[in-house]
Amino acid sequence: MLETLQHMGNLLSLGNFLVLLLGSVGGIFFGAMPGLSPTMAVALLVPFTFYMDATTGLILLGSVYTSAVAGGAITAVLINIPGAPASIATLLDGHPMAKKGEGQQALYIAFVGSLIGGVCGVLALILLTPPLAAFALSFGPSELFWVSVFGITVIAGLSDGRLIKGLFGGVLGMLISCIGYSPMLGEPRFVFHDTLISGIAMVPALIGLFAIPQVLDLAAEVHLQVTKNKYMPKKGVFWPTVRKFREWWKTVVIGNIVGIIIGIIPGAGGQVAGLINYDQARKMSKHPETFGTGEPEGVVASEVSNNATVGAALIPLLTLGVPGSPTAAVLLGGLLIHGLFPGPELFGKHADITYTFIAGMLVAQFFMCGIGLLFARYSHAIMNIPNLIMMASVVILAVIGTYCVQNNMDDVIVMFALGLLMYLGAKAEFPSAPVVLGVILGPIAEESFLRGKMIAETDVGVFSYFFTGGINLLFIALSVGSLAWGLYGEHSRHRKRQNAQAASAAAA
Amino acid sequence: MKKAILFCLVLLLGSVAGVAGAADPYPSSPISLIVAYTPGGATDFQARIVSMPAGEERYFGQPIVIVNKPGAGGMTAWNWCVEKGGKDGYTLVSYNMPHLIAQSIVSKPSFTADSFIPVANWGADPAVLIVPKKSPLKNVKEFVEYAKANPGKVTINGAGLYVGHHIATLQLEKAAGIKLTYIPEKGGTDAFQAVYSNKVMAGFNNLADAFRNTDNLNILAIADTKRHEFLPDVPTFQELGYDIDDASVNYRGYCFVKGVSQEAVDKAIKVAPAMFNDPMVVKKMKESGSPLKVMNNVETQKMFNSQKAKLEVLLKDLVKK
Amino acid sequence: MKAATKEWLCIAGMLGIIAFFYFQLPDEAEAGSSLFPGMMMFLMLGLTAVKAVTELRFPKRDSGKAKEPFPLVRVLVVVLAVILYIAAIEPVGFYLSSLLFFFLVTVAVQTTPRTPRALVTRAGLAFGFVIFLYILFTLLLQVQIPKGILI
Repeated sequence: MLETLQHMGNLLSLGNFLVLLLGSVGGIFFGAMPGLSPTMAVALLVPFTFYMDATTGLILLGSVYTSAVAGGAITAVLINIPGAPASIATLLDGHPMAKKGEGQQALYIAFVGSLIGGVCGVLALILLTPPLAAFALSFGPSELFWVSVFGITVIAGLSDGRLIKGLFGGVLGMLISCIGYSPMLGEPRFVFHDTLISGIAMVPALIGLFAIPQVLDLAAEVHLQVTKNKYMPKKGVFWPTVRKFREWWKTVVIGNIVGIIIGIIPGAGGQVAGLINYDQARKMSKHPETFGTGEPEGVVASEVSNNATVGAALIPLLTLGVPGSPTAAVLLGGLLIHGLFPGPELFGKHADITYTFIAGMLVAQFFMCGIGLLFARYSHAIMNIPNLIMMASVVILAVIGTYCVQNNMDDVIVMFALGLLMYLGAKAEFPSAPVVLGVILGPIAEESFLRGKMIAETDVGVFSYFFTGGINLLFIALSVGSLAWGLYGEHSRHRKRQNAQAASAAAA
Repeated sequence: MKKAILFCLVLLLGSVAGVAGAADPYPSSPISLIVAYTPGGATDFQARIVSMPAGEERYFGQPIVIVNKPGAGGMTAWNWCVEKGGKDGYTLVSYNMPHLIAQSIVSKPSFTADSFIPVANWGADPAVLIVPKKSPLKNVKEFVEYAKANPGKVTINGAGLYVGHHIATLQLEKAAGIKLTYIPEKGGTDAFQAVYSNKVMAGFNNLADAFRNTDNLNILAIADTKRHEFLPDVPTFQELGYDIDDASVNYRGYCFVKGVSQEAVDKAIKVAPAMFNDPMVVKKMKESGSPLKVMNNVETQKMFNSQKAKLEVLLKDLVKK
Repeated sequence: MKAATKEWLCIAGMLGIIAFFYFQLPDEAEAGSSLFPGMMMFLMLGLTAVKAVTELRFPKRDSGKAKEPFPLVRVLVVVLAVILYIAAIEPVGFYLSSLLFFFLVTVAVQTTPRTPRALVTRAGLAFGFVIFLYILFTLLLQVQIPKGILI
């Protein structure tokens, strides 16, 4: 802690300060664009850091990372498209709030929540690295497998009365993620068309599954936007909104814990944390039915935990060279290019650079929040954009964003095809979020399952490998619990519906 | 109305300039370098380091932009290059030996070593046998004895299927007459993590990465024909009596897909080795612990051929029908 | 259409998807490669069965809300436009196709009157947007965008 504070002074050098500011602004912007995810933003910037000195370069990457994760909330709230995979859960309540005219508040909540989560994540990095790093190491194939299963069962909580369809979507997502070369054995699977040979990457899937249905909905509703300037900025909303955070303290605390743990787990990142925390906030709430209709607590849940993963993902990265999230993996490249190797050397020989970087991460949170709040005040302008223009712009952004991921037009075709199918699915009341979650978690689940099986076969046997061990059992219990809760919720909702129908039939 | 006309003019001028540009000598615009692995991995950042000075006039005169196409240990990218990659000379490919050859022998992808024209080689990273720091197996002899006593039960990992590490494992099995269980991981860093958290008993991994992590693991031997300057105390397998040569050494470099224009090939062949020897590149490669070994196209072609011959023999039992 | 019929169509669709993937499974299944997809398909089959059973026992009732007529033509036009746009990117070039797409689609689908003034403003907006993208992606980020014959 002390070292970090000592190095804060370094942030005042012109280069560092400028980069902190630009990184935060740029990061929010990148995160907000549907199509550019935090991982891609950092990947695109790594080459530019060659020409800077190590500290400045790292501060740039770090501030872009954290701001992009937060910035995704902007499009999630305003146009129902997650700007970053981490913001999928944010749109569930964020967009309904915007439609009700509470977009400004939603963004305030999102950014303040991101600030809290981000700061806690970095604090975990500063104070809790040794125990958390050891914890990260204990995640082997079987633990990872159960974490991804848990992630999928969370879908039960997201599907809102359509449990079977949600689960089907999730499993379908995992099946879709198998298209392409199988990760371990390199065999082509399900490649029924040439474009599919490189598989389905996460960002094209995310964009396709969310943006295209939204675009087609906008196209269908073009005629509905009658009043110009329907949304106006509101004065004096900020402080009351902030004060409400006291009510939500439980969600905030749990959000930080969830975010930090998921952040350290190698491979999973913000995307999953936001959803998991959203789900559990809903379960623990006294009024779960309000979630999905514009409940501010939903936005808090998602944004706090997805920003907490940022600091946490750096823990295994800096100490062991094992990235805690896909974006951290790209950051690793950034480190290595400057000759900075993860491990004790970072905190010894290169302490100056490392602690300045960490101090930068801490300060970046505040910059990010400040800029975001400023933006929120004017967010109504985006809500007022005619559906027509929005639709065309989103299509173009979606195309270019998808293309940038792997420089492959195939991805664009796949993105659109997926989007069309999802549009049909949405008309049949299949929710999008579970499918995306399936696509994200599918590879993790499959690889960890196969790898675990291979190791287990030489040792204690598959059953014992997967079903013993503290962490395994913990996540198995969580998965079962999550599924059971989902079933129970479904059942009681069903009961209520039946009673209501019986009552109205009796009254008729 | 006037604004619209102005815009149209600007656009027209811009496109004319673009078309005119096509007549310039190669290269007249940035070149893409296809890297078959994820950003942040060893191949990726080495590729970035060696490509940094490309913009200078004495080299390519245009920057080289890295394009990552990860998947299936490299096959995704190399298949794409051969099937869909541009043949206009603006798509350089980074190869990894023995991965490329091994995969083309064992699986049935669209490429073989002959599908590519080597340009220059930048790195040679031998594989080393590593065990966790606390492992009871202190040297190769104990390792082999344990493996003989427990056939199939020793888990050893590497950064993927039929990559250099896997080849080294196969060679060790053959040379010592033991049976190991190879676990393919997603990449070098994942493989390390599994070794030091004791999830697997041993691993083959890149020398460059291993020697930076000696706090967490022990390096038992190196799969090469001679000891390496970074690890002077680590014996080669050959010294210890196991006939393992350098077939598993991870060579990396630039190549073009066959069919690319001769102008591009000639320019690249001339310029790349000099670029790899640029003092800034040498310095950064050393700082990042990456062994640099620059070879020109003739030497690289020889390497392709000799590695291909060795691997065909080694892998003939594994060829898929 | 009635809600219950819609649900049965869904179930048919779900079965169709499972069948589609099933017939794509490689013949000589390498133990590793088809294990996981197989498991997923099995789960999906189970879920479809549960859905069919619940639909049989508690069929979905119509919500009774009046449904607005669905603007099918307009949506199809947009879908077609996007397909043409994507197809045009590589031959024609990204920026030019984006420009054309933006202008043509919005003009084709708009419900407000198409005055010359509105069209010019729209064209200006299209140019502005494309130039913004050009500055961001090609100049600033130096991403390789398909160039095509023009730009």
